[in-house]
Amino acid sequence: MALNDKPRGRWWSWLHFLVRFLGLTGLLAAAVGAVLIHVVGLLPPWDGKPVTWGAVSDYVEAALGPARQALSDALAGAEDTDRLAGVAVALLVIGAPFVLLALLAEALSVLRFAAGRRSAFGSNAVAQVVLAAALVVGVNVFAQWQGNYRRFDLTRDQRFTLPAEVQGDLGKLQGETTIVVYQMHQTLGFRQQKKLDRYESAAERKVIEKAKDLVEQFREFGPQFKVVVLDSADEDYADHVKTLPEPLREAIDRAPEDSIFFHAGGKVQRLSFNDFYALDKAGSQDVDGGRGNLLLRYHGVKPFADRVLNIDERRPRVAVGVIHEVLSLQGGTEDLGMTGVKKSLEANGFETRDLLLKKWDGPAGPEPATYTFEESKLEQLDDQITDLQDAISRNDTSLKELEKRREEWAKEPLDKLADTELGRAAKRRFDLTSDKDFNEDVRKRVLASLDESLGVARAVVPAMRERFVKELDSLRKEREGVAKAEEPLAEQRRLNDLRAKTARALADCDLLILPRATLFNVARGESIPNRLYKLDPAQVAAIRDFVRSGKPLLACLGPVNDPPGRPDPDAGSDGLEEMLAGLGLHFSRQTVLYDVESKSFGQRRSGLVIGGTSVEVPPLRFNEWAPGTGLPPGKHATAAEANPLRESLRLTARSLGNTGTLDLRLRHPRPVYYDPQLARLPGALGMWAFAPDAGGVAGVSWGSLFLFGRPGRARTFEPEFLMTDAGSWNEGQPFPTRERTPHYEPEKPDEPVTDPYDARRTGPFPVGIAVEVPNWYSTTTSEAPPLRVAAIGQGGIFIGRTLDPAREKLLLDTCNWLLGRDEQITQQGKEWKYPRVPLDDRSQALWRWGAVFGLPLLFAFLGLVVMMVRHTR
Amino acid sequence: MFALQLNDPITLVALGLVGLVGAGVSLFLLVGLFGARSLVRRELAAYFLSPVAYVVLVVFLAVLGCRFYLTLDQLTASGPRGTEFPMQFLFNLLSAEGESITFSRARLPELLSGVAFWLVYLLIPPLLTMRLFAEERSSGTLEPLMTAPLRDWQVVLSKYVACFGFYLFLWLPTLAYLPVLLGLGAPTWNAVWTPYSILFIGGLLAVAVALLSGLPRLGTRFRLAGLLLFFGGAACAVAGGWLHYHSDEGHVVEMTSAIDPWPVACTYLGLILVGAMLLAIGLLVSSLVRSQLVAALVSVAVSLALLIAGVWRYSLEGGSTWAQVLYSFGVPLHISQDFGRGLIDSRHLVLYVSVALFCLFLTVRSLESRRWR
Repeated sequence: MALNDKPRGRWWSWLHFLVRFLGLTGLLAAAVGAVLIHVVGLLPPWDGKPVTWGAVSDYVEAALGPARQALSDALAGAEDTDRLAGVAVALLVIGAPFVLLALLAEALSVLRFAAGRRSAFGSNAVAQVVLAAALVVGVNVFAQWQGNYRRFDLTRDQRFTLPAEVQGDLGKLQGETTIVVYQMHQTLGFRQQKKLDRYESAAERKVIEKAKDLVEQFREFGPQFKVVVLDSADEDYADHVKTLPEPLREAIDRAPEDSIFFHAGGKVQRLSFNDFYALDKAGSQDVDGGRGNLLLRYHGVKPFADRVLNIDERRPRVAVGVIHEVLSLQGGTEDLGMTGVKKSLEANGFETRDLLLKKWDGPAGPEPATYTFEESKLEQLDDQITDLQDAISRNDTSLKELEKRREEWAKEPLDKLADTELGRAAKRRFDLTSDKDFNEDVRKRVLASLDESLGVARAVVPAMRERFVKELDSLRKEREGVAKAEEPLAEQRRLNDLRAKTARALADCDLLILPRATLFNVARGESIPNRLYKLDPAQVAAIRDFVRSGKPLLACLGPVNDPPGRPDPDAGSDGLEEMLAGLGLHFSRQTVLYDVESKSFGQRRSGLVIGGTSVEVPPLRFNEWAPGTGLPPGKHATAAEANPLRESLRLTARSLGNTGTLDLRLRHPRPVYYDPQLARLPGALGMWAFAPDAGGVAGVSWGSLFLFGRPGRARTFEPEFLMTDAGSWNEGQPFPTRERTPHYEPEKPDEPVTDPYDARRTGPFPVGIAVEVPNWYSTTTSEAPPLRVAAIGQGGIFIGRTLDPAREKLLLDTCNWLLGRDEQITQQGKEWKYPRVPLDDRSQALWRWGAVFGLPLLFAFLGLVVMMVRHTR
Repeated sequence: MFALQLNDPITLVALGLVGLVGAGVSLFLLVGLFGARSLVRRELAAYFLSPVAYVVLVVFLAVLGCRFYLTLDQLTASGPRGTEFPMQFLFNLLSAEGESITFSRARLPELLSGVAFWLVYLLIPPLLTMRLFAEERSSGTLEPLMTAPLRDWQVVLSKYVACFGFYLFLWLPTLAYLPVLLGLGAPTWNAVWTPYSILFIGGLLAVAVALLSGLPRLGTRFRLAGLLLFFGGAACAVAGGWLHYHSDEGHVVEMTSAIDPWPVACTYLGLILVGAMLLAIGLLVSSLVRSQLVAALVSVAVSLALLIAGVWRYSLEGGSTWAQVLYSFGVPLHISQDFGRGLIDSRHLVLYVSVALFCLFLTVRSLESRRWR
């Protein structure tokens, strides 16, 4: 192409200048317009979709509408228009064409230059540069794109590399997951309102860092993870929380301690900081020769990954079997109810259900029954509705009756009226001695009286009716709510068979807790007789079916001792303890008393203190003890591995530091033992002996008695997880009397010992055991998985409107362990701490001075020498 | 994250190909560089004789010394203080722990020294490169230089290698910190004679001989032989050392390290690559302007952008797009969060290498443009 290489003329230069000037001005105007558009909020927010052409065109389309409207409003001079918005759009609309015009002119100019023979080299170079720039930008954009980059973990222990199976699982995840790292500056939920110390603060910061690191690793494999770090102490905390979805907000409100929340598809899972990295404060204080460090127990990626991968997981349901509403999770008082259990369990991802095992409204006292708290409430509501309906009907009938009487007395002849009940009453009222006196005057007076009554009734009955109807409506609504929430109950209520009914109520429960609070204060004689807890054999059979299906059980059975002189005629086993004996659990028939209690009994006799009120029993032990501790002579430990629950409690106590303790005190417990030799056949036969009439052989199938199921191999570890203080003894008569103050007396040589477990001795005694045992009750032909059972020798351990820290920890750990959620109880974990360099003070000083002054001075010296050498030249 | 799978055939083939291409290109460049060795020597000598270089060195070591002082504090602390990755702490910009910044009085020295270090560090490449072409241009020595029997790329590469060499020299004194940063115990020497140990020791000896041969003034052939001996010896030492420490039971030198050494190695790798990028940017800017001051200021502006990207990133939510964009350019974060913790992110490598190569290419084109402008 032949082009003119002559220098351009003056006019052309001016024109070029003008085009450039207009383009620059247009660019300025467009930029100002764009900024103003952003400021006035004309641009809709980007909805977070991935950047695609379609998404961009949708966005532009959405943005153009308000811009057009603002411009047309401004041009039309509408009164309520935002003038700034109009100006902003106008600036952009006017500026942009000039920019385009200038770009076009520059492009033509470049083309002309590039096509010139003299600038062939230049254009070639420019093309190369443009291509290279495009290549650099392209390569970097490609390298940054999700999925195209790799992060190589060169650390010695591969600490930033996820296990292969987690990588695979994350790759399959769909949709967005929001992860909220929430600091409420409460490292242990059970230590309310305590200021964090430096160890806890440091642990909190480190766990947040670790959580964020882990999420970064997840991002490499899974879908988009959104991470939000919330600090309840931040000024903008409330604003941040408002932006979160409702389920997350609710979960954050309920959080008892520093937690990590996982939210996807409306479902939320919570992970406590301690389930991820648990602080070992005692260890932190002692480590490095007492200098201290931050010692954390790392539980691996699994707990974290499990929450992400199992967000949809169903919340486990815990049923609590009680004999009265007062003792239940929803009713009750501070002294008897278990509302604290409900609060704690629900705040930590469980569902709860009350199972009422007795009915108390019969004339013959408590009768075996199985119904839920909701069902009981439903029945109460039904009764109230019926009563109200009756009352309304009675009032209406009374009014009608009165009107009828009035009518009758107005119309009927006097001789007929004299024979009516009202007529006779009138005779008595007006002292009429003969029928002659029963005249029109009497009629008038009776009618007047009736009118008066009718007047009152007409005024009162409709008002009462209105009030009753309102009350009725409200009750019906409440009933509808209860019935809707507990729909399956309707069918259950129709079931009559107690065993089937109990089984049905337990069917969708994952764990059963059976508390039997018996002794509260032996000095004052406060107790609930054990006979009241006695279950029907059919109920026991249903519980055994529950266990047979492999579901866990927590039995909190208090002592069975009765006050002296009041032997309970109905006392006797209901078969529950025998059923548990079939699994190897042995409940002693004695009560543990502490030495301090013995002193208090003595003081009480001498009138120094009011019985038992000032006694504080020693806390339970769950720290190290030698295998076999607490067992009677002749009995030996069956396993040496630490009990997981004891380990969890011990580690939790360590997280409180050397000065803190996990204070768990239990009054009047009974010893509980695990003896594998008691398991299976003896227990099963015992069951039959105690409950022969409960369908078949008390629900113990012949299969389990003689066909011998194939129970799976169980893990062996020491069964005891709670132990009393050594200053205690076991007592068959724990109630003090005028004649006798309970105190420790050694077994007399001539006293026959029927059961070695019940032989009198001093403590410590095991009062809490948790075992994984072969499921002897299983009748499946395939190998049945082992069963987890826990027993505590005190039924009132979880009573109260709120649980104290130690009890809450005990409850949650026990429930989690029984349900197989081992990762949710505190475990030893992998030790993590800051690396330390062992340098003495002198070496440290040398390194410090050497680094800050030594090296710089050395090179300053060298520089000066070089300068001097140069100067000599 | 990925563990580097050296037993994966695809990885091995890919690495082999990259190695072959790299070796070819390196050989070509080395030959070119050898041709321009006098220029390299001249530039290096200029650095070591310049007061600016020593001022840079002293300030740099003083600031880094302060950071080391604080790191040592963490490594010898009592109570729940400490640092999991010393190199992360040494090079962190604002905060090493979970990116959460708490401006407490106790942490003020840590925060201030972190910012001070990165400001000084990002000033160093502009100071080293500002004079390379701008001085030649302003003093009129560029024309004679360009008439030398060298290609443009040889001139650019010589100057680049010289300033890069001085940059590496800046970091050499910091190796003195390693015994503390790695928690090294005293070395034990053993007489272990296996093929791999002999290869390792032989390689080291060859390197030493090659270095010694550079001292006397010998002919070109001897120097070429010395160069070959150096690279051959280095290759033997690396291969022999690797095999000796991975295959043999006993080792010639044994030293225990209480702290993971890989994050330290990764950090040095990252710092070398970042330096390569910043020096290339500085070299390009220097080739475009006449004034050294302007060259330094423009380079500083570019470096500051990388620093600001790092600081700004702290105020954004981790998963947001903006945070990721800023993280891509936040060099201080790359060093403290990734390299400092033993992580090598391919994104950072691509950025540093591509920008460095692009800038060197542009510098060559910039010199070349004098012919057709």
